[in-house]
Amino acid sequence: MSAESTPRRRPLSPHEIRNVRLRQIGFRKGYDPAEVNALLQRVAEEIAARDAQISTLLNDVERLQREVYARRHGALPDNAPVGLDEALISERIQAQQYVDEIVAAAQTNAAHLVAQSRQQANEIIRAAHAAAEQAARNYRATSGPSYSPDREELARLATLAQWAIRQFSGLRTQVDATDDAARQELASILDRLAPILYPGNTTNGAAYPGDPGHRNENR
Amino acid sequence: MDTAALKASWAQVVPLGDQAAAYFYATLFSIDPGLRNMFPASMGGQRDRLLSALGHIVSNVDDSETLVAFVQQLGRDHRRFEVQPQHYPVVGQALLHTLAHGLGPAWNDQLAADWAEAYGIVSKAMIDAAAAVDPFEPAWWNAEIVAHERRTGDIAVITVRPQGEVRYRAGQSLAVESHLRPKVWRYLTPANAPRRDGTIDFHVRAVAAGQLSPALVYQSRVGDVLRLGSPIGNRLTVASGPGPDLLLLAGGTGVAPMKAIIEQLAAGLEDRKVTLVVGVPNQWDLHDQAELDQLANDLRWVQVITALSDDIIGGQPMTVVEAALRHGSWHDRKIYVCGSPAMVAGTCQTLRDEGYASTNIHVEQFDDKTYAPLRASLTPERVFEEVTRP
Repeated sequence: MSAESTPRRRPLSPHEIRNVRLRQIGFRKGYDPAEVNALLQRVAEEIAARDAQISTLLNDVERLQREVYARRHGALPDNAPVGLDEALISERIQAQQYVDEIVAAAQTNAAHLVAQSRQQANEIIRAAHAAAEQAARNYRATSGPSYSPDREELARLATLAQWAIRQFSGLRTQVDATDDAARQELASILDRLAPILYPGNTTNGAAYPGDPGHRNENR
Repeated sequence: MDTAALKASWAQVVPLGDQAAAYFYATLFSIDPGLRNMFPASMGGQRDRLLSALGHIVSNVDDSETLVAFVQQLGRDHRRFEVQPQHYPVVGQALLHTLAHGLGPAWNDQLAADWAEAYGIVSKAMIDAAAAVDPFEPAWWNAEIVAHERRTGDIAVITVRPQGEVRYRAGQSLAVESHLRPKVWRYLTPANAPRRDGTIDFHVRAVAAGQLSPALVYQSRVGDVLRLGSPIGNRLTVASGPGPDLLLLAGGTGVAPMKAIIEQLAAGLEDRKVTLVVGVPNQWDLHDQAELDQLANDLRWVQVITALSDDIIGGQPMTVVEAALRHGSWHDRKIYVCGSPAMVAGTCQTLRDEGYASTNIHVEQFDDKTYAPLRASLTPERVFEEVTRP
C-alpha cells in the first residue's frame, strides 16, 4: 500500500538532494557553496530518516487496518487456545466418516446395479438380434424362388417384436411391484428397443470396418 | 513472514492428507456449527479440494503474481457458496488449530504468527476480490428449467433460462447446483453459443455413482430453479476470426462444447472446416443424432462422423480417435477433445503415439476432485500431462 498523498511530481530522493548542483551566474553575490552543500547534506539525511520512519508507520498502519478489519468481522486468527474440545472434534470426525462411508457404499451399490442392468439389457438386445438373424436365415433357406428382401426384413422385425413383447410382459409384473426407479429403467429399455424396432430412424455408425480396439471408452 | 518456514511446515502436514482435512472440518464445525450447512452431506471430495487449494497457495507464497490472481479468483468464486467476510476468521482459527495439531512439537509462536499473517493476507485478498466484483456480477444466477428431455436411458437435455445475462464463451463451463442436492456443485458445459433469449442447453448424463447428475436426469422437472456459477475455462474456447480448421473429438455428452463451438463459428463469416467425431457405446446411446444430422445438413463446412465403441449388434467397435484417424490425417488442425476421463486419456494417448503435437490438442476437465479455479490456473501443458496420466 503506498502513501495516498504522493504528489504528481516525483519527490526528490535524499540522494538527489545531496548531489544537487546549482548553476552559479556571473559574479553576483551568493551563498557560500560549502554552506549550501552542508545544508543539502543535512536535509538529505533528515529526509532519509523520515522516509524510513514513514515506511515503518505505513507497515504498522496496514497491519492495524487488517487487524481492525478482522476484528470487525469476527476474530483475528491466532494461536490462543479457544477452548476447543478435542473429544468433540474426534467425535465429529467419526460421525462424518460414518456418513461418508454410507454415502460411498450407496453410490457403489447404485453403480453396480446400473452396470448390471445395463449388461442385462445389452444381453437381451444381443440375443434378440441373434434370434432375428436366425429367423432371416431360416426365411432365406426356405423361401426358394418366392424370396423377397422385404419379407426377409419382415421376418427379422417380427422376431424382434416377439422378443420385445415377451420382455415387456415380464417387466410389467416386476415394475408394478416396485417404484419409480424401476419404471425409469423400463423406460430406458424401451428407449433402447425403439431403434431396433424402427431401425430406419437412426444412423448406422458402423460404416467403417475396423477391429475391436479399446472398448467402453466412449462416454 | 518466513515463507520458507511456511512451506516447510506445510510439507509436514501434507502427508497427513485426508486426516488433516477431516480434522480441519471437524474443528471448523466445532467452533461454529452453523457453518456445516454450507457444505454437502458427503464431505469426501471436499477434502481433496481444500488441500489442493491450500497447497497451491502455500507453494506459490513467493510468487505473488500467481498467488494474487489465484486468490482473487478464489474469493470471487466463493460467493456462490454464500461465504461472508465474517466466516474468514473462523476458518483461519480452524486452520491454525489444525496445523498446531498436525505439527505437534514443531509448532511454535513464530510459526503461528507467520501463518496468521499469511492467512490474513490471503483472506483479505479474497474478501476484497469478492466485494469488487459484487456490484457487477451476481454470486450465482437462478436459472429456471424450461425444457427437460430424456434422450436416452441415462441422458437428458435440460434447457434453462437464467435470470440476467450469463456472459460465457462457447467451450466454457458453469458450476451448477440443484435444490435436490444442496451444496453439491458440478460443472456442466453449455451446448450452445450464447443466445439472444439467454437460454442454455445442458447435456447431462446420469453418472452411475454420481450425486448431482442422476438427480438432474431423473428427478428434476420443468419449473425447477438451478443455480449457475460464473463461466470458467479457457482451453476449449475458440478465438473468433480466421484460424486453423478444427477436429472435434467428443465422447457422449462431451459433444456439448463442440456444438457450442460450431454455433459460434456459424455466427461468424470465417471459412473454417470442422470435423466432429462423436463416440458412444451403441447406436441407441446417440442422444443428439437428429440435431447433429441437421447441423451437418445446414452447414456445409461441418462434417459429422459417428463411432460406436461397443456396437454389440453391428460388431464393428471403434473408438472416437480410431474413427477420426481412419478418416484422414489431421496434423494441420487444432484438435479439441471432450468426454469421460477414460475417453480423454485414451484419445490423447493415441494422438500422441501417432505423432500429433500436444500443442495442437485442447483438453479441459473439471472433475469434482480438484477445485476448478485451481485447475483453470494450471498451464495447458500441466492439464495435458494430468489428463493423459494413466
